[in-house]
Amino acid sequence: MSTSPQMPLPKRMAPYGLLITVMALLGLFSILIPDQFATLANLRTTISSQSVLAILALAVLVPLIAGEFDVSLAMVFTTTMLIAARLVADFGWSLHEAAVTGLVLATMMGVTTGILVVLTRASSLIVSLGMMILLRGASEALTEGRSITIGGENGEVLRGLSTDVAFGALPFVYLCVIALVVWYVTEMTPLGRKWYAVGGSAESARLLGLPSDRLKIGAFAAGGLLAGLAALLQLSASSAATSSIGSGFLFPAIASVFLGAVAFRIGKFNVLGTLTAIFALAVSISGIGMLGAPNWIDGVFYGTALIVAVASVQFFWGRGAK
Amino acid sequence: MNQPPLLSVANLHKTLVGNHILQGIDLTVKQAEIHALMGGNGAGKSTLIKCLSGYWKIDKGTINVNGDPLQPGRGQIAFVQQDLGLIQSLSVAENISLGVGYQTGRLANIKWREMNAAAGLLLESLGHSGIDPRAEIGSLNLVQRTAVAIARATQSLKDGAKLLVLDEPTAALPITEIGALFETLERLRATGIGMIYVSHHLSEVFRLCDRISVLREGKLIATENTSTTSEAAIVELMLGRKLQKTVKRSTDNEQKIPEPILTLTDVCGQKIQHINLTIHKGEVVGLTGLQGSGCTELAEIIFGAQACLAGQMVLDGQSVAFAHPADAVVAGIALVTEDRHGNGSFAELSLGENMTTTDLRRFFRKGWLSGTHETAEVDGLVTDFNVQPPNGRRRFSSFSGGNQQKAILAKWMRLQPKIMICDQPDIGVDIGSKNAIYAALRDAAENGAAVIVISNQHDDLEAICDRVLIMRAGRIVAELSGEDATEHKISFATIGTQAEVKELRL
Repeated sequence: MSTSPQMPLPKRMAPYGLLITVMALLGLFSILIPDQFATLANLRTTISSQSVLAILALAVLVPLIAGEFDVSLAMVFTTTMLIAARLVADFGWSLHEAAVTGLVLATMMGVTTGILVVLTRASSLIVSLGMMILLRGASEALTEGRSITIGGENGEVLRGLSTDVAFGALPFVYLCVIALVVWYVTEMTPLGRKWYAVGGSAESARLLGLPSDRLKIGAFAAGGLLAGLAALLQLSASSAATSSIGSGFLFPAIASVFLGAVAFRIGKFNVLGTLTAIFALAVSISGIGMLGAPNWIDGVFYGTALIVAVASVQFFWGRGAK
Repeated sequence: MNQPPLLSVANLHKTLVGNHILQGIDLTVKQAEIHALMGGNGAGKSTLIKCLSGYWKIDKGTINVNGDPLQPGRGQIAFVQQDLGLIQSLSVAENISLGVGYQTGRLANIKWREMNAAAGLLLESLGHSGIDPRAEIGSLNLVQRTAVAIARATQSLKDGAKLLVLDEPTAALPITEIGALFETLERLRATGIGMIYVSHHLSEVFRLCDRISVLREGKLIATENTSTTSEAAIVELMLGRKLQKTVKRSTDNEQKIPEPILTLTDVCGQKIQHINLTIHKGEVVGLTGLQGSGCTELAEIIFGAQACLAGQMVLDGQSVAFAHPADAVVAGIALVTEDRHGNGSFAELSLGENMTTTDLRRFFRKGWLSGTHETAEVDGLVTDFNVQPPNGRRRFSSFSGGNQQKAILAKWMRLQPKIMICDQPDIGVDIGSKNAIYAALRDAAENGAAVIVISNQHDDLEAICDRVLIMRAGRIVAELSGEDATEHKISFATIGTQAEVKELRL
C-alpha cells in the first residue's frame, strides 16, 4: 500500500476509517447514554466478553493469510473445551495437564485439516466443512448431551482467575498477549511474510522456492493452537462446557477477519484490523442494545456493517489499486 | 458461375490504442477452399480474426459474407477458438447444442433423445461416428474434442452460411493426431465449406491448404496458391526485411575456454524426450520452438518444478535431482516464469516484498524483519534496474509490465544464480524495458552466470545469444551457434520443413 503525499485525503485516511468509526461510536454512545454506557463495568464486560471471540478470530485469520479457509476452528474450539473439561471433571487430571493436552490436540486438529487440504488439493472450505461436521459429531459423543462442569477445588481456582486477577479482565490481558504474538509473527518475521506470499499465489511461492505446502499446514496448525487457547480461556471463565457453545462464534469471527481487511492494510487480512473490527461491532451492538433495540438487531447490524465496509473499500480503493 | 465469394474483405483498417494494427487488408475466401493465414507474432492475425467475429469494430473498409455485409452474431461465420471453448463437465451433445439452444418439448423439457441423435448424426458426417454424444468432454481425447468443437461451429452457421475460421486448431494436438483432424477438415471442404486456417506450421499448411495469405506488420503481403509456391518463399514473405539489432553480442567470449556448468543426459519428462545438452559458464543460450514444443517444460524440469522422469542432470560437477524448486534455488538456479501474473509474482504484495521474499532471513535481525535493511536493499535494486516509478512500497500490480519484469529479474539477480533461466522475458514488456532486461542478462553472463533465454522473438535471440537451441515436439532438433544463429535460420529451423516433420512422426 502506498501513502504518497499527492493522494487525496479520503484515500490517505481510508486505512484508519474503521478505527475512527470505533472512536466516533464510543463518543456518540457516551453522550447518548452516559450513565450506562460510559462506565468501567460496561467497558470490562464488553472487553472481556469479546476476548474469546477475538482470539478465535485470530485463529481464523492465520490460515486466511495463507490463502485457506478453516471453518472447522469453531468446532476445534468446542471440542478442545469439552476434552479439557472432561479430563478435569471426570478423569481427575490437574488443570495444567488438561490445558496442555487440550492445546496439543487442538493443534493436531488444525494440522489434520491442513494435511488433508494439501494432499487432496480440494477447496479448504469444503475440507474444513467436513472436519467441522465430524468434530460436531465427536463433541456430542464426548458430552452425551450434558453440560460438563468443573467443580470443587479446581472450580474455585478457575473462578478466582476470572474475578480476582487483573481486575477481572484477565481474558483481555490474555488477548493482548496472544494478539501481540500473532501480530509479531505475521508482520515481523519471515514466516509471516511467507504466509502472505503463499496466500497471494501458492504457485508463485512454489516457483520461488518456498515450501508452499508446509507453510499452509503450519498456518492451519497455528489456527488450531489459537482456537485451543480460546477454548481454555472460555473454560476458565465459565467453568463449564457444552457441545453447543462454539457454533455461535464461527460467523462473527469470520466476519471480523473480513471486515478487518478494510483497515490498516487495505485489502489484506491483518491482526490490528481484525481486533478493531471485533471491538467496533461489540461497541455498536452494546450501545444499540442499551438504546433499547431488540436482539435481532445484532444480526442485521453485523451483516450490514460487513457488506457496507467491504463494498466501500472496493468502491473507493479497489479501482485505483487494480 | 456468378456466385459471390464466401468472404471478401476489402481495405480493412483497424487501430488499437494508437497502433495501426491492420493497414488495408484485402482477402477473399472461396467456396470449398481451405485458406491459410500465416504471419509472425504481432503481424495482425488475431486482430483480423477478432474483426471477423465482431469483437472489434472496424475503422474503415468492408467485410462481405456471401455478398452481404457482415452482421456479427448472425451465424454468418463460425469460429473454432484455439482452446476450443468446450465445457469439460458437459456431454458432447450438450456442448454442441449450447450455441444454438436446446430443443424443448411442451413442458420446457429438453428433448434429450432427439438432441443426442442429432449430435450423433452431425459427428458421423464429420467422420467421427465413434464419439458417443452422451460422453463427457473430459473423457474424450484431444482430436475428438477438436471434432466436437468443429461440429458445434458448423452447426452455428445459419441460412446456407459456409465459412469456418479455425485458430491454430493443431496447437494442442499431439503431432501424431494431426492427420485425423485433417481428414475431418477435408470432409468439410467436400461439402463446400470454406475455411480460414490460422497456423504457424508450414508443413501443415502445405499439406492441407489450397491458398496461403501472409500477414506482416499489419499488411497482407501476398496470397499464393499452395501448388505454385514453396516453403522457402513463404518464410521469406513472413520474415521480410531484417530488423535492426538492439543489443550487441560480445565477441571476446570465444577466447575463453568454455567451462560446463550444467549437463543434461537423456532427460525425459511428461512432454519432452531425450534431451541432451550442455550449458557453459558465461554464455547466453537461446531456446525456442513453436507452442507446445516443450521449451517451458524443459525449463521447469531443470528448475525442479516438474518431475524429471528419466535421465541425468549434472550441475557444477555434481549429479543433482531436484524434487522441489526450493532445492534448485539453493543450488543456484533461477527461473523467470512465462506467466508473470499467474506464477511469477504476488500482485497484492508490494514491489519490494516481491523482491525480498527469496531470502527474507537476511533482513531478519535481532528478532525483527528489519525495515531499514530491507528498504535499503529494495531502493538499491530499484535504482540499479531503473524501475519506474522508483517506489518499492507500491503494490506490485500497479507497475507496468516492463517494470514488473525488471523487478522480477532483480529479485533473482540479487541471489547471483549460477544459472538464470528466463521464459519469454519480453512478453507484455515495452521495447525500452526489453533492451534493459537483455542487457542485464548479458551482464550476468559476463560475470560468469549461464543464461538460458526462451523466446519466440528470433531477431532478439540472434542479437543476444551465443547459440540457439531449437525444440520441436519435445526434442531438441537443431543447434545454431555463432554466425549460423541468424533470425532467418532460427525461424526456418523452428517451423521445420515437411520432410523433417514427417521424419519426426515416425
